Amino acid sequence: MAGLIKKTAKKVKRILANRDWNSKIKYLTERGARIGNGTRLNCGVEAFGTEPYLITVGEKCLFAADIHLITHDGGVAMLNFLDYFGEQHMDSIAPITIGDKVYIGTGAYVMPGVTIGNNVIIGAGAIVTKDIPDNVVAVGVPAKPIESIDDYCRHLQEKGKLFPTVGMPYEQKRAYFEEKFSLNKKAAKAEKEN
Amino acid sequence: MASIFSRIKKKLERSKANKNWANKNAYLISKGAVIGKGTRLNCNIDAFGSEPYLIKVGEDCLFAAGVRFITHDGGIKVLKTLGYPGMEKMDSIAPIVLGDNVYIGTGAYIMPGVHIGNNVVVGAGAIVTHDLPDNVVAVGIPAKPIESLDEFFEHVKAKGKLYPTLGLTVEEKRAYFEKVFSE
Repeated sequence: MAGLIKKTAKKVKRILANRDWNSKIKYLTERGARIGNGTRLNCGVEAFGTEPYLITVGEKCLFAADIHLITHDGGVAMLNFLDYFGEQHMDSIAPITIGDKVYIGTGAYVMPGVTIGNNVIIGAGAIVTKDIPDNVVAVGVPAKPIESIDDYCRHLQEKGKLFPTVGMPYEQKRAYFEEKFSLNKKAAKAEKEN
Repeated sequence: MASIFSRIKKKLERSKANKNWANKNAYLISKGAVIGKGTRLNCNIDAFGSEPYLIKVGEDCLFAAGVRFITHDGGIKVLKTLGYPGMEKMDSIAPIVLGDNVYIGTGAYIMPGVHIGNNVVVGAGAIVTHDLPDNVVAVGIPAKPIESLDEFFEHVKAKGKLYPTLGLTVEEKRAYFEKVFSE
């Protein structure tokens, strides 16, 4: 019974921690993570895994949903079962350090011991197994730098995917893009013709 | 206090929407997504991200759990913080358009601006960064077509993994497979 209450209390704490950016940072800082000013977590606190005290994040970073910062290698359990290290069982662990102004795309994994520089963009679904230098965009499995952020900026402008919609409320933004791409209008028209 | 109520209301609305296929489609269509007849979402509504009105899906599609459609590029935040000229008010956004009869495997991501043709299979965990043509199977990161649908048909047959169990109840299916694999 006591165990159940403890478990529930832990769950409630987590749910409360995940309610907004400030409470997430507070929860993780209490557990030893070092997180710089202006960093925003769109992921839940679960992203910091079981050893948040091994993670250092710089200022003004943004982490998308469903990312994972992994500070341990669970595979070592197999070696422990087989007594590779004798009687003393081992953890395989390494800290993660992330610089300032880093964006991590949705679903990306950062593996143990990785250091990410300043001004870096990690693509969605990337698996970062090696250190990433400053000022690059890195994507893929394993994540590799594919361009500088100057090139990234130029490509964005060339692709015509930039729109001045930052700060718009949801309804206004929806109206703006529905007009722009008219995905719906076509559907409405087709329905009428049917 | 009011914000707590509106938050709970929103949560309830979402969990109600995730209850079944019809609810999911109705919810997303009310948010501006275009979803064709016969399309079934085994993923939940979160898959459509923060701009569902930028997603158009054809008829008879099937999406597995954990699929995500990403219509914006959040990486532009780094450029904004560094003060790149003309970026401070900008979003990087592009619509996603899917044809008819598309299957998307579990955990796959579809990136901004991608168009997928008709009769396409996207493999589990694939990340689709470029357009896909009609009648292909595409897998990997980034997703690339690896075979045509006809080749896919031949391979599925050749692998000997096909069983006539569609429509069986869970119990019937379990009994069927326990018998098949104990032999």
